[in-house]
Formats: sequence, structure tokens, C-alpha cells
Amino acid sequence: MSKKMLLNAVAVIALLVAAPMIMAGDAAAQTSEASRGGPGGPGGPGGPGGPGNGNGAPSMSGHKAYITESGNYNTNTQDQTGSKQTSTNVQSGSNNGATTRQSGKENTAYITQRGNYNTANQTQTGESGAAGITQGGSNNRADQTQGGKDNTATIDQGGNYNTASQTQTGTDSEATILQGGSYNTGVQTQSGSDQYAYILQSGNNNQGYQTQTGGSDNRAELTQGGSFNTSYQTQSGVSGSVAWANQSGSNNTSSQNQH
Amino acid sequence: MRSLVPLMSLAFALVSFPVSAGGLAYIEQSGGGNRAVQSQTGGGSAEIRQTGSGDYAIQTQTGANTASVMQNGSGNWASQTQNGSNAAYISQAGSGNRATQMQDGAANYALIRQSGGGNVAIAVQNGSGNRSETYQTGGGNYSSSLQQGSGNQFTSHQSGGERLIVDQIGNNNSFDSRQYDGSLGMTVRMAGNGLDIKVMQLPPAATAAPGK
Repeated sequence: MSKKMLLNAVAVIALLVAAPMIMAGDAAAQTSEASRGGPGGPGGPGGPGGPGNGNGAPSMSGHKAYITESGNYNTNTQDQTGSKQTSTNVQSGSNNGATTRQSGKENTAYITQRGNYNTANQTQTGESGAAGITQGGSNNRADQTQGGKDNTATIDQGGNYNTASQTQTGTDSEATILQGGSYNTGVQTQSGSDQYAYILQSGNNNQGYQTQTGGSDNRAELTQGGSFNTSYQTQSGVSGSVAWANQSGSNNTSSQNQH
Repeated sequence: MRSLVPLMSLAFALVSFPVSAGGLAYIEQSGGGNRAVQSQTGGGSAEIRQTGSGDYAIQTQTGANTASVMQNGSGNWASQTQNGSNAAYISQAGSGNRATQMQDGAANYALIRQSGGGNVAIAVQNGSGNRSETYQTGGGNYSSSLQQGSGNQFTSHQSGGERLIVDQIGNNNSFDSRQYDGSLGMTVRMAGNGLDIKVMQLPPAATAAPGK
């Protein structure tokens, strides 16, 4: 038997011995992951929500996937059907792509990417879902789509030349984009009532777009710190809706359209 | 002595496997407390069939080989170790089974099928262009796969209270999984470039027949 095969044999024996322990220890591992909180709780009027799941700790009755990839040009696609599911993806490297699709209630999805030229895409259909994307690096793109009520979407990008896009249909949902750096673009589109959209951009030459249509009692907030920034806010169905922009710095442009 | 041709046809009909010019070893056991060990050097085919409880099977091969273990009953254990360009098959029906497959070399193929509760499947492949598949139906299953090398593929289908752990190291590896009905989920760790992951987790109602 070769040395490598001998090492394999030792590894397998270790795995076999550990298997029942791993199985028995799953509950603890899940509890630990569940206690991390969601990708961003409800934001107050003055800023985005902090870490924590506004929907409460997810139940362990659904599917659970934890995937890590390191390297470049990797792809990752997850489809989950059911309720109270959790999907966690961590990618380190550049030119990677991650896609998560969930249908059902009370699902949570997290994507974390470290590197440049990465793409992340999350789609949730159902209510009380939470989606979070964190990207560190430049030239990244993040897209989130949620349909239903009481959903939460958060995108946090650090670096330059990033693009974040969020689309929500339904009611009582929240969308948050945090971009630290310059030459970033944030786009939020919401249809329905009692929706909340928030964009925070720190840096220069950023662009923020918020569009809320077809409902009432919506709220759009946009904060830009730095110079040469641009914000656009459009609301239709303005009964009880609020559009609020705060720009600090010079040579900024803000546009609001309510009808 | 019964003809081996139908048996081998049944076992090897699913996929292509390295053609062996070597010998054929076959063990068939029925009853409890049996043990079977096969060892081959050079090309060959080895098959073990066990029906009963408390069975135990070990196969070790070097060269271009094919190994097959079929166990029906509870408390079974099967272990296959191969070095070269090989194909390995383990089929277990019953509860409390465990299966391990270890392959060194290139263009290996490993298949584990388990039905019943409390099963454990472990597959380890070192080399490139390898392919491993594990299909588990029933509750309380556990599957672990380790592949080191490039161009490797791992496929897993599980239904029940499953748990899946996958480790792949190398470039252009792929992982494809379907889980039904389970809440324990999966942990996947992959390192390399050009990796491809596809995961589907579905409710029990969508459970499909595993395997090909």
C-alpha cells in the first residue's frame, strides 16, 4: 500500500469515527449559525438597520446549506424550495458568481464575496424573507429580487465601481444599500405600500436611484457623504409617502419627483 | 456454480468502467456474521454479495480494476481501496450500513447507493478526472466526500434527515447535489479555480428516484 493510500486510510478511519459525532453535533452547529442573525434588520428612519434578523432567528426545520469557495472564475447556484431555509455562500477570489433562489416563507440567504469582478444574485419569493450580500473589493455587482411582504434585503459593498440593485414587490418590505467608496451605483425599485428604501453612500462620484410606485405610505431615504454625488428619487402614489435626501459635501446633485 | 455473467451485467450496466484483462473474483454469502475479503493486483474484477446481518466486506485492488459490493441486511460494512484507474460500486439496502471508498489515480469512478436509516458513506479520491456519486434514501444518512486533484466531479442525492460534507481541492472541479426532506443540510468547502457548484434543496413531495 502506498504512503498516500495509507494516509487516506487513516483519514477515512478518522471520518468514520467522527461521523456519528458530527451527526450528533449538527444541532449545536446549526444553533450557532442561526444565532448569527440575519443580513440586516429593519432600519430606522435615520439610517440602516444593524446586523440582526428582523424576522427572528430562523427555525431549523428547513434546508440548510453552507458553501465556501476559494479561487477565481468559480460559480455557485443554489435552489431551495420550502420554508425556514438558510443558504450561506462565501467566495474568496475574483470573477466569481453566486446565485441563490429561494421560494417559501421565512427563508434567509447570505452571500459574502471577497475580491473583484464578482457577481451575486439572490431571488426570494414568499414572505418574511431576509437576503444579504456583502462584497469587499471593486467592480462587483449585486442583485436582489424579493416578492411578497415583510421581506428584508441588504447589500453592503466596500470598494469602488460597484453596482447594487434591489427590486421588491409587495408590502412592508425593506431594502438597504450600503456603499463605501467611490464611483458606485445603487438602484432600488419598490412597488406596493409601506415599503422602505435606504441608500447610504460614502465617497465621491456615486449615484443613487430610488423608485417607488403603485402604493402609499412608502419611504425613501438617501444619504451621500462626499462630493460629485447624484441622487434621484421618484415616487408615485404619494399618499403618506416620504422622500428624503441628505447630501454632505460639494458639487452634489439631488432630484426628487413625486406624483 | 451459477453463471456470473448476469450478475456482472447487472452491476456494471450503469456506467462505463475500465475494461480489465485480469481475473474475476466473486464471493456470495448469506446469513449473519459473515466476512469477506478480496485482494487483487493487476487488472481484474471483484464482486461480493452478502445477504444477512452483521456482514463485512473489504476489497483492495491495484491496477485497472472493478470492485462491487452488494449488501442486503442490517449492520453491514463495506470498504473498497483502489489504486490505478478503477471503478468501485457499493450497494447497501438495510439499516446501520457504512461504506467507504478510497481511490488513488486518474479517471476513477466511485458509486455508493444506500437505502435505509443510519447509513454513512465516505468517498475519497486522489488524482484528476475522477468521478464520485452517492445516492442515499432513508432517514439519518450521512455522506462525506473528499477529492484532491483537478477535473473531478462529485454528485450526491439524499432524502431523509441527511447530512452532507464535501471537500474539493483543485481546479475545474464540480459538485452537484440534491437534498430532499432534510434539515441537517450540507457543508461544502472547495478551493481552486473554475469550480462549479449546483445545489438543489427540495421538499419531500418532490422526491425523485435516486440515481440514474
